[in-house]
Formats: sequence, structure tokens, C-alpha cells
Amino acid sequence: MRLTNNSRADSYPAWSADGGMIAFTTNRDGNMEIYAMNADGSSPTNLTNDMADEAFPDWSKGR
Amino acid sequence: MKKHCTIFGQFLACAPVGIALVLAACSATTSPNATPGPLLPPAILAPTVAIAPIHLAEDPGKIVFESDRDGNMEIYAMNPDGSTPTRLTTNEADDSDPTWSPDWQRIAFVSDRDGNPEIYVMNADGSSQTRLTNNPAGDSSPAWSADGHKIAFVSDRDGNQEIYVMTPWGSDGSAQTRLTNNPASDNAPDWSADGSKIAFVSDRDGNQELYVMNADGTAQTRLTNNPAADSFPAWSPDGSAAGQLAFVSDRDGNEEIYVMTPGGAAAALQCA
Repeated sequence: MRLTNNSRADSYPAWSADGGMIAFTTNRDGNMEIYAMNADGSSPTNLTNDMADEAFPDWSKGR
Repeated sequence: MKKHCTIFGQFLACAPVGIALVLAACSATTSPNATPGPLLPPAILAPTVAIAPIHLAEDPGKIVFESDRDGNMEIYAMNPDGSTPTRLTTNEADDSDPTWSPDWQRIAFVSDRDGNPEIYVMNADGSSQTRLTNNPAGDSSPAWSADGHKIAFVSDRDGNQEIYVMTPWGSDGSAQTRLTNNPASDNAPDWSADGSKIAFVSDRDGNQELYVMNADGTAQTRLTNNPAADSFPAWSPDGSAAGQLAFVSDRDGNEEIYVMTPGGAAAALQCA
């Protein structure tokens, strides 16, 4: 099942501890930023918003 | 979207009876709901650790990531809403690809500060940065097992990219064991939540596909099969080897994030 759908690259998914969200890397805004979305792909939100490149998110496991 | 049922319950509801029975057998041996014991052995909780112990109920839910916002690639951590980004590494080399230990007190990452990519570990506040691998090859893509006892990683020390596993606090290379062995590139390992399986990427069949294997490297099985490149599997935190895999694929023309349930292929593997 596809969770993202846009003309740019989305990559490096990482789950939140409760499985409810997925952080990922995307360049949909022009450069690589960290986003988080619900696990069904809804409500993608930019968590970093600068001119630099961010990638490889990993969510603490909550165990 | 928060899950309101267990993965075992999900399989009872949607999976063929045969798979459900296999998973029931697996869950009986891996006890995903058992009360967790100590996540890390005493060796990594040595008195030299600089940070104060963190109670297990106080997981800050931080996201670690790499950024070149300060001129070169460094490791940062932030709250899940993006607030309070904090730099954890500071040096002229590239520090990248961070991954949390399961008790969120340590972060494994890749750095070329000593001349080539090696795997390092540090405390969650960036202190006590320590090299875990040391060889002329490139070591990368660390992934911590759920019990904290092992780190899977990628190395080309034997000529091409293969997946290895090590004990994070091993004193020498003897604790680093190769799990894959073929002329193709095997990379991007990620552990299942119960620690019994490792998902990874291999182009052994002609292009990048997702595979899964037992944690000891046996029963390597292809999960995807299409002309596109499938990569970067990430196993959901469900307490079972049959959790969902998020991954990246360009099957629709560019890289997008997908999710799949390994289901039959993972269930067919023997319980570790």
C-alpha cells in the first residue's frame, strides 16, 4: 500500500514507538527535510524547515 | 493512527489459519508481551557512562537525524513535533545514519572521522563517542536489535556489501559475524520487533528487492518481486516478526513510501 504520492523522492521511513506515525525524508519542498505522517499516510508534516539537508530519521523505541 | 489491537489479534482476524498457527507458535517462544528484562547487559552500563540513568517510563520520544545545517553532516535529536533540535556531534568529519538503542540511552551512528566509514556509539546526549568497528572497509547502516544485545550493519570488508552482526561492546572484530554471503549487494538491515528476523535489501536477483532472514542469517527469503527498486525496510514496533514493513519503492516512477505485511513469507520462516 502506497503511503506517499508526489513528484519528489520520499525515503528512509522510521516508525514511532506506538506504530501510529512514520518519520521519513523528502525533498518535496526543494531540499531534503524530515517529515512525519500518520501510519496511513495522512497529515504529512515538515519537522525541519531550513536550507540544509536532513535525512535518516530514527524514532526512539519507547520500550 | 494508533493501533488498538495486538498483531496476534490482527492475524486471527485476517490471516489464513495456517499462518496464524505458525505465528501462534512463534509468539509462544518469543513472548512479545512478556515483562521486559534488562535491555542492555551490564557491560554497556559501565560506571564510565556520563549520563544519569533514565527511568524506562520516561522515553522522551525523540527523533534523531542527520543534518548539514552547520556546514557538514552531524547528528541531531529533536522532539517529535520538530521542536528543540539539538546537535549531538561536532567535528569536521561526516556523522550520519543514527539509530537509537531500544532503551533510548545510546545512539549508534556512522562516522568517517578516522578516515573511512566506521560504526560508533554514543550516549543519548552525545557524550562518550566510541568506535565499534575498525578496518579499512566501509561499515555503515547500523540497526539495533530489540533486546539491545546486537547491532546489524553493512560492511564491504569481504569485497562487496554484506550484512554483519556484532555485539556493540565487543572488544575486537571476533564478535562481528557475517550473515549474508553472495556476489550481490546486501544492505539496509532492520530487525523485527521480537528480534527473530532481519529485513534487508539485496540485488541478488537482478535489482533491489526486500528480503527477510532469520537473525542467524538462515532462510533468506525474497519479499518483493518487481522491476522497480525496493529499499530501506523499516519494521513496525508490533511485538511479532509478522509486523508491517514500511519501505521505499520507485515502482510508480519515483521514490515513495509503502507499507506491506510480510505475512506468509515471514511466517514460513522457522521460529528463531
